[in-house]
Amino acid sequence: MTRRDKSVKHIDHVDQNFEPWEPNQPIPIFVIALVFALAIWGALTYLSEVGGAHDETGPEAVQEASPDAPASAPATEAQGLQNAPEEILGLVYSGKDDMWSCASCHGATGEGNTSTPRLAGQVSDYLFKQLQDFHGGSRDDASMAFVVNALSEDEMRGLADYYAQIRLPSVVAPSMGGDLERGRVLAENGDWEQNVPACLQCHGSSGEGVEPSFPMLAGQHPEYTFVQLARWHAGARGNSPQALMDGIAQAMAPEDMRAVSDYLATLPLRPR
Amino acid sequence: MSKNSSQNGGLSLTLRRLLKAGALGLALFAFGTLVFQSGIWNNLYSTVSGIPETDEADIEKRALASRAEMQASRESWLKDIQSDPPKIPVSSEGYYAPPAESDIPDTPFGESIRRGRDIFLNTGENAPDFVGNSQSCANCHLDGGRKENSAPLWGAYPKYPMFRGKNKKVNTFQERIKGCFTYSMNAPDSPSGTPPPLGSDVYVALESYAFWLADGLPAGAKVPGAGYPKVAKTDLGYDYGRGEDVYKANCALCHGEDGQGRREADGSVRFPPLWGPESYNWGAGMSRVNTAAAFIKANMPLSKPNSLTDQEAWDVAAYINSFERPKDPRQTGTVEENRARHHDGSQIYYGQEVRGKIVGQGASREQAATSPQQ
Repeated sequence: MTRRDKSVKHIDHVDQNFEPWEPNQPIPIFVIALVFALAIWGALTYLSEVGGAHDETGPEAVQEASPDAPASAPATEAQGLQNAPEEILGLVYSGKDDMWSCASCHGATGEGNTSTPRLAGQVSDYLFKQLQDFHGGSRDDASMAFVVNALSEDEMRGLADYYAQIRLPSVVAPSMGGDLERGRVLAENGDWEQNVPACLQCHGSSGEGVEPSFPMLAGQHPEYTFVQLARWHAGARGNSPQALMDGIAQAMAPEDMRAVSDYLATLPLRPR
Repeated sequence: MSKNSSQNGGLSLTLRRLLKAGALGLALFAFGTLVFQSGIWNNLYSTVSGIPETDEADIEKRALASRAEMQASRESWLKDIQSDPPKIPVSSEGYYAPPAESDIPDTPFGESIRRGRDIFLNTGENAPDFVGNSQSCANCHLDGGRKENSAPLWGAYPKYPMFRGKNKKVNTFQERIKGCFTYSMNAPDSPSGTPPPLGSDVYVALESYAFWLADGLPAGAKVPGAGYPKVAKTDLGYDYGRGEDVYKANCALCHGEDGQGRREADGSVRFPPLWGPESYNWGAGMSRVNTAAAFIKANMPLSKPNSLTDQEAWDVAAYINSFERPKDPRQTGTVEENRARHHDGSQIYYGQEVRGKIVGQGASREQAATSPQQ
């Protein structure tokens, strides 16, 4: 009874002027302000980092690569691009049924791009070992694991030898915002208090690499160098002989990795 | 009519609101940038994540601050005899902290320091007349003679002049380095056939470098981190056979299976040879198994000090020192006589049978040229 009474009363309480259509609520000013702030941040980041770097090693160079005519590839300074048996060149520029071509990611001259490593001029035995490690799983990378699955050991050897003999000047520049002077000190002298030897002590006096196990560092994309150091640092890459790079990277601070990746990118490439 | 006015007012209102939002956005961005730049964010991040913020810079700063403090108290002590005398500058680990390379003064003395450093780092190139193998000082004195437990120059310099059992006389620092050239650099096989004569500018430069590195230690000081820390004797003793496996697993990557190290395209040494004609000779301290074990344990492989067990260090030192190397320059008669005179009681294979052959005859460059495989 009482309930009914209440409901009856409810109807009486309905505002006769109630307008069911809500008027437009203005967007809170703070939300607009946040959008502005993010836009400024984004624009500045783009201008400072992406804008500059792309001029030198743009992805355009990679896309222009034509499978049929490697010699007419963009970086005309590259030498030795045809210097391999036909089946190896086929793998490089066209791939296989179950494998995309090397050049589709690493570029027509093996120059690489940002975190895709440069292969041109790399130490052959080192490249061969990496391919095997991708295959065996001791180096973890989904794309490369897929690719090497389609390769025989002879093909791995042939590809490693092919990329090792390409001569291509360094096409990279610092891009990680690292402290170049700190990078130079680390590369030339190391940081022995952290048990970090000089990079160049093992990788060659100008970072050109030392056969058969120490890869070339000069000419490598700073993004790639940094990512690899970070992977060792975090324990995500574990195929360094005697776990040497694991320990070294773990002793390095992120700023030091940035600094050294950038400094190494300033070194000219010398013959090994 | 009310609709009309609200439209007009709405437009200017929207504009005003946008302007206001823009200004607020700018302020927000500025505030964010300030917070990020101030390092508050990094501190917060490292405390929350548990990843310590890079203290590398701090470590270096501590050593630098310690040195700056010493300089200041040196000056105040000069002015006021009652003030505290300077303290030894130390690193965060507590070892003596030598000056930073950027502190080398731009004076004639600084030039001598730099020349000394260059000779130390690349001896064959910068003192070519007196080097008869492929070694450099810095091969066994890491970080250019700065690293503790790697026989740092600052550990040695304050101890000279000193009586040495090796030549049974009081040696000056120059005479000590002369010994390095004679044995470790195998000077008898060098272009000049001898170590630099006493008083040579090579010694002056190296002495300047060592003096500068030790500036902050009192004369005569015996300091922690000097020399190589001795490795305790093991029950098994040392054995070059066991050492071969240790060598292959830990050393061959850089020094090669054949122990001949690796070179760069221009012939310069990247990893030094450990035996054969291009290594230290039979008179060098490093050819003794105990010295090599001490160096290896505390310093090898690079970046992994003390990663080998004592047993492994002894065995691998034995393996490396079981091969032929340049002859002992002090040998006048037979190897046997020289062993009795200079190596008696030493932990060295010199004059002993290894793999069915007495070692100690010496490996020379000419020999290597006629028969490439030793």
